Amino acid sequence: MKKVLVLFTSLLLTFHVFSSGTQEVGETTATPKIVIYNNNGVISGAGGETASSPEILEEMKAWVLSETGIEVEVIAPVVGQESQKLNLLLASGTQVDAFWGNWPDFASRNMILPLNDLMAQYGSSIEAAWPEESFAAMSDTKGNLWGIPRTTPFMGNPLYVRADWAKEFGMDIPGTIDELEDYLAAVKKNKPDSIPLLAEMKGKHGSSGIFQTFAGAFTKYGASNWLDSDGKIKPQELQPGYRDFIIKMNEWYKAGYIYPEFASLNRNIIRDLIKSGKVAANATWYSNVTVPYATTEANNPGIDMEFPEGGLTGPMGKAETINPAGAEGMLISAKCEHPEAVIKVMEFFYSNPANHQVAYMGPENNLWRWTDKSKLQFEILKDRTGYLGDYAFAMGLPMERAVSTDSPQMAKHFGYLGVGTVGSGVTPDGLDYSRGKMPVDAGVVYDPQIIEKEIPGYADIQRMREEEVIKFIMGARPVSEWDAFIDELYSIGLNDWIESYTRMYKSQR
Amino acid sequence: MSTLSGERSPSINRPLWRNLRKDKFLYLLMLPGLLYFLLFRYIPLMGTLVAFKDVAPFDNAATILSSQWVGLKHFSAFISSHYFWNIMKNTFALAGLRMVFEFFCPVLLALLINEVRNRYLKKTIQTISYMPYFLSNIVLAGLVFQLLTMNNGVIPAVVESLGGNPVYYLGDSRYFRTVLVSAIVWRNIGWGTIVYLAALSGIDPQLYEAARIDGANRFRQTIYITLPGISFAIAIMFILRISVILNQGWEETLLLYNPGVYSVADIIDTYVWRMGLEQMRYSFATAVGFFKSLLALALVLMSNYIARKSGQQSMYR
Amino acid sequence: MSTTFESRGEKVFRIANAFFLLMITAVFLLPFLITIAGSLISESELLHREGLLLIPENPDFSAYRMLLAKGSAVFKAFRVTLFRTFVGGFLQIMTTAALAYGLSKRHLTGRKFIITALMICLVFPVQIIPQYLVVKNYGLIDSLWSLVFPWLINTQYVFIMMAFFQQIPESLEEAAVIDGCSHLTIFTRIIIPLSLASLATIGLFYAVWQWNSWYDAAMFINSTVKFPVQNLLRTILVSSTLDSVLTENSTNPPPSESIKGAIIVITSLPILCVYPFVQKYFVKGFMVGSVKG
Repeated sequence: MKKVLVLFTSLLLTFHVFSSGTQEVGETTATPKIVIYNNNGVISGAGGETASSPEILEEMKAWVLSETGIEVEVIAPVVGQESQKLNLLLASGTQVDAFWGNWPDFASRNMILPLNDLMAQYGSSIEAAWPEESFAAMSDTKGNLWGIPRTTPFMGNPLYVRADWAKEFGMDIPGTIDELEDYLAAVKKNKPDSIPLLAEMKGKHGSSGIFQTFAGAFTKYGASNWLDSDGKIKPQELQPGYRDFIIKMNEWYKAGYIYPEFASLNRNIIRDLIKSGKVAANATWYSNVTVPYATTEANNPGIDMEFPEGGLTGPMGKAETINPAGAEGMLISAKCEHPEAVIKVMEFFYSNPANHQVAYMGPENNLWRWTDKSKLQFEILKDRTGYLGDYAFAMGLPMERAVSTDSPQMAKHFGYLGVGTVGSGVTPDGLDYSRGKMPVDAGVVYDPQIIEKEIPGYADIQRMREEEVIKFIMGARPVSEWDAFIDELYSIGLNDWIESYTRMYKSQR
Repeated sequence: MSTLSGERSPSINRPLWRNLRKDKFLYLLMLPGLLYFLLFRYIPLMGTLVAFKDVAPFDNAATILSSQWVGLKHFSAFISSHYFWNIMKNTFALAGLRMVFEFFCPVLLALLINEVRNRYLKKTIQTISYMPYFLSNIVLAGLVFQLLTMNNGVIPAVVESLGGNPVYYLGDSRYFRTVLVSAIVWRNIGWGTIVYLAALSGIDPQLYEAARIDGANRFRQTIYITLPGISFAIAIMFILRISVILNQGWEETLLLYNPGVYSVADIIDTYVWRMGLEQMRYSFATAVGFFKSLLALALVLMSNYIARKSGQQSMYR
Repeated sequence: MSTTFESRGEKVFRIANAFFLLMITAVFLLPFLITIAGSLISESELLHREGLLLIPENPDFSAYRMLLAKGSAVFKAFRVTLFRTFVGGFLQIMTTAALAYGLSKRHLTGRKFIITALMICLVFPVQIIPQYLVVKNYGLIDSLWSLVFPWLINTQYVFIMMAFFQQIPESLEEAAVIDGCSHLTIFTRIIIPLSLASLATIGLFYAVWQWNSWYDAAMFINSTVKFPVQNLLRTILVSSTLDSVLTENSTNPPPSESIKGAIIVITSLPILCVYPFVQKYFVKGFMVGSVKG
């Protein structure tokens, strides 16, 4: 026995290396098979690699097949490495028919298909579901539509404060930066163990956290590129008043208001902090407050987190910057052999919110059930285990708002989104654009290939903007050096940046 | 690694096929390993070609071969980039700190453990000190976050109770390197002692006896007997370390750093990671990775040179 | 060693040294204790207690119950981890030893060439995209073998083992040849038994590496059921699984701190339990591997 062990090992190894090369078998069946990399956020939110149960996945696949005649295979993303894995799949020519991404990144490299004809032919419900702005953001100047939208303009960074504490201190919910400062001071004094202000650098859907919440209070354009009077597009750091904004943030940081980990927070930590009830003011993405609110309430009886009516204001007006409809959407690979099948599947989910509901929460009566199917009302039966929403391709406000539940646990979140109010004429808080500033170049697309060609120092500029601003806020670099910082930006090619961005802006406006 | 320089083959005058046939068992034995290197190391190595081309990450393999050569464009872009010297400084600072602390601390710890007389105590200390080595990088990063968090973290609490003013050490460029290197040393130091303890146990006890009779105290015994006794192990470990030192430590950095500490944390590997897989500048990232390999090559040649020197000494002593 | 000649200074040193080492040991141990304690703390206790928590008031095992519930993803992931650790580790050590043994024969034709080729691999690491391409072309994507083959041999270990084999006296083999033994018999009957300690040491290195790896699985595996336990751990640590809209409805979920602690304990405990038993081999394995003798 022992004698052959090594030989056996050698043979086994050799066998596997060579035999495996022949595994790919060309299928020539009538049913089109499509593969979708589901990186639209639904799975990463739930923990991608942790797996839905294979039985439920089979059931979902069979359901989609029986309803649409199309076999849909889903690849779940790697949490934290969603785009890296996508790049590998695409670079290696693995079959991936559809995925989510910023269309300019892919369109300029001929990696994706324009969808105008397909949508006209098969996608009427999809077209009806999304607002004009969303489609505009997914289209180029020539009118090519490059993907199915994922976002609408949204108030993603309302400043939530603890109204119960404000009341305790004899204050109203702070509506201005000065009132907020008083509130934070009172928190610091009266609640020594709390976190006065929780802020982040980057949030969901490209939001920019602390900047998105406060920059507009001190600057005309807020957390947006700046249109200077000379007609040029410049980065936000150059706009008048931005230095004052940084000075204020630095003051707050020094005073111990801003949670010191702000530059390295992730959603998980943020939500734990909020659930603990320690957070007196939240300047991170809204859903960190609204989604776990039931737990927060259970942990902290009497807690009441609210944002100021009409939005926070400062010397330069509205503090919050609206998250514009982005270039992020579902894209169809140029190598896709059945693009019409992808659109048909999407149309199936968009045509009836009940279909999306099953895709999102799994087979009916398993984890949830309808309480009134005609009104699209459901209730949750048990915790989500075994299905993570792998087939939920129609993510986004239109579908998420279409169904509703009376579960009190969801009230805060669904209230902000206006779930169940579709068609009632009520504007939900999340879509109340009067509370903030719209970025001046919302909908303008900055082509990454042009950027790479025209701005050789682009990566350095982006890094310097991010890194140095953090240092200014933390006081690791004195704000007196702000002008020197701007000069440094120019020295590594900011002029290229401004010229290139301005050209792209002007060609689209 | 003196063996690497090779020796004159005794069978050099025989015809090739007779050598091959005579050693066919050895070749058969080596076959799986050689196949592995060919299939999984050398074939992908051809991908390095894209460092001299302009390749987008979505181009398929065929275009990688057929696309235009751009010469050293990406290399000069890296070298002229604003953060080039910063990244080089960080890379070598991390490698240097790891070399100093991760390489010499185990020697010191092994010497101290060796001085413990009680067998059970010694064994317990050893067993516990090896434990951290078995934790993955992910767990290590998790522990660091947990210890340092400003929300009831142990270390800020201790600093505060000692009258200090705690800051978020991972977000502060003054402390980041200390934290990173401490975490790595914490995990690897105990494990690093194994080889030295093994070498120490191989030293002839009679040498100590003789020294003691000559009146040498413990310290002098350490200097004149113990250290020379393990010098060979130290040299071997040094050589093994230095050839891979530039490849190590990046995963820990990637898991712990944030944009606020780039100025002290960003090393070549993390830069390659961001440029390649995040910003999709594939040719550029490959060029930077290749540049690092050239530095590593210089280190390997240097360590081989040292090996030959020290190897010769120990052989003829 | 005789202890009769111990001077006063030496005695002070001995005691101080023991004390110092105990302190160091505590530093090694403390993070483990904090993690274990953290995994046993309930939400309510977390809210009213502060600072360093080493001993929970009422140990709460709900995090473990949740993670180790019947049909939990943890078990599936463990199966994959066990496969890659044992099957993968075994293939790794066998191929490494076989290659190193061949290379340890200085007369071998082509030896220098092969060694140079290996040195090049040491310096030029594989880049991820070309690696992914070959793994795909060999048909290994989404196969458990993709966790074994792409990193089958660690070049450094080949050199360590080669140095080890060279220390086995040639005379042993020569005697066996005279006795009429075949090369295969020599290898299996003489070389392997003599190198058990060394094989065990390098084998354990490979096993630990396999146990702790996540990146290759993240890239090469697509089916969620084929992810090893480190990826599960990572998902929970990086992007808490429990924050999905729906689990928020759970009436009293364990705090995510204790879930994180529990998954760390679950993934690290097995390997921490195994190594003290193989520990004695390391010492031998290292000794022959590194010390001229």
